[in-house]
Amino acid sequence: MSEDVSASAIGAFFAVAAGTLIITYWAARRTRSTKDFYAAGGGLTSWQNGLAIAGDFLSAVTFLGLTGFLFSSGYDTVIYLLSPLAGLALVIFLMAERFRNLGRFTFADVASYRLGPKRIRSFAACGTLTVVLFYLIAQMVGAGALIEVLFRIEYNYAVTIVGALMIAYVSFGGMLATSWVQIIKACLLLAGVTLMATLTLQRFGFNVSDLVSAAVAKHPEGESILNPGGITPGLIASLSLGVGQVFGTAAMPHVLMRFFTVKDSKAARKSIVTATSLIGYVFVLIVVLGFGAIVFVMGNPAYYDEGGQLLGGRNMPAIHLAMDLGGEAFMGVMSAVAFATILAVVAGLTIAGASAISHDLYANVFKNGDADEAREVMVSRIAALAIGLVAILLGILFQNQNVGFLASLAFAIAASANFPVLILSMFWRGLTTRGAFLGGFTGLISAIVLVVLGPTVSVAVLGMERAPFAYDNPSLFTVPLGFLAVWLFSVTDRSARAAADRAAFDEMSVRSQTGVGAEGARQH
Amino acid sequence: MQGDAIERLLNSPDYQRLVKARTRLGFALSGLSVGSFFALTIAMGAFPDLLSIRLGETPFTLGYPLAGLCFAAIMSAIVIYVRRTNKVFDRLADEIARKALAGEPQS
Repeated sequence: MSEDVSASAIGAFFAVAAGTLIITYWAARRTRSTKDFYAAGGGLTSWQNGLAIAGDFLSAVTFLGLTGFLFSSGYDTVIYLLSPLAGLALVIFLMAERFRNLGRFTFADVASYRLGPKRIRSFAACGTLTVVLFYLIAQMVGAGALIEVLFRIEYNYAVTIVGALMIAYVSFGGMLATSWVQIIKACLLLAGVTLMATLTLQRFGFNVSDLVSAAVAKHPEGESILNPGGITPGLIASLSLGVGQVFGTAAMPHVLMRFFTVKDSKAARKSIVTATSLIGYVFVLIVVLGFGAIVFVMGNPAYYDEGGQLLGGRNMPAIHLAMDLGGEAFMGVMSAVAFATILAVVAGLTIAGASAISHDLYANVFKNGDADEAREVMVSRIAALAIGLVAILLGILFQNQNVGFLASLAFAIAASANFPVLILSMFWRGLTTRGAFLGGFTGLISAIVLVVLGPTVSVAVLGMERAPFAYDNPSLFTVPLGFLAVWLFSVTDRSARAAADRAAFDEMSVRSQTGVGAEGARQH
Repeated sequence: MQGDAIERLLNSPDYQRLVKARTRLGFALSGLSVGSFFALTIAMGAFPDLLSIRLGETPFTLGYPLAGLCFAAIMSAIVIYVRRTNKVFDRLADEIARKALAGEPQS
């Protein structure tokens, strides 16, 4: 890799920035109503939405991070590869169709369908904003570091550029711009990863066995990269990680929001099936890239500095592999794909956060569901700007922190707070407003507290001698605790509100099953 | 009008059958996908030696076909759900909703 940035990388960087801004300009002229802003007017096809959902999942953390993870840790990567698929399967079987039939714009619409709207939306907005903000900081810090390496732009400028572009997409272009940025990025990523995997396999005459044998021969750990146990310290820790990943995936607000961008529940189901297939396909190819990187990048002096450190850090094996496979031009293109990936994912998170502020808090809590539509859209645009500025600031502040724990904290909160409330609101008659509110907050707060008490934060960040809680990921404990608290606060609830909550279950159930009365349902 | 439709639906055997069948299938397939993932995770944590057994002359360990099996279980569960929904549930739900809104008796 040359010291200077290649012309192809610079060209591709500007092409991505310019292309996405043109999309935003086009989308801004079509975004007026709240439905336009939050749900792209409900006008996406299931294919387009499927690509966009896949795009939400295939972040730079996935494409570069997991390739890098397989590069260093081998077999244990399967937890990260299989858990989102299991989580998405849950969404397909239990949630997508019902969700589309019950809501309009946010997951709070579904959770508050038969429950007291103010309390539930306040909780849901807290759940959404904490998940979005933690995940956003993790993405911003990763993005800044990556862009610094890929395009030689100084970290602070890199974070600011990413923040400014994401504010522009969301504030002006709303969900329509966010979706198209996501769709185009997903296509670029699919094409890029397919080409990389094909070129890698071609060198082995498309014999996977030979590729793996070559990787084992090359890796200093040898055969043990094919064995479990590299990074997951023991049964409880890996189970806890798995629980957080599976149930967190099923309750990520920016993904759930995407079900409202299509016309009905069938389209919602088709889009999530499309997305899961595409994600599964990319994950299989990532395994090929990981082994390819071991063979062609590991130990190759072109990619290491004098100290024996991999140039650019642990997320770089995929980019170095692109260099090896297709030279500088190809590496430039794949860097731009990674850049597009970052932009699309942070934009998706920002619009989810903005809608929690404008649709849940402003329109439904402060204005009692009676907000002027134009003002609500204006509040969303301002909220997107505010979230963007906060993300830039925190991204810069957290530059030298290990932010990996923030991403797993986001998943742990989604799994412990949002998931129990959401699933029980649709499937359990006994759920009451008090149960959802107090139980949801129990999950939310316990997840945050246990992450702070866990080794990464308490020892590494706060400098304690011993971690009060032994595991980095609390989900194995906090997800059952969240469910238990929701159940307990519901069954002991004897209020009039609780009786009304339970009585409304049947009507909700009919609508969730048949779409009778659903937003945008076909007229009969 | 819509309140009537909901009342009629709740009492219709067609609707009850649809809800029961779809919910049962949904939970069964969820159990299969999530269960196979956690089975693999537990195996990784509890029996790493078992998963590290080399498969004959190939470079692969037993962990690979097991991970592949988990992947296949999740993907086939999705295929089963989609086929069943396309063939049966969608038509049933549409029919039920149409009858309920038109005020026709449910069969």
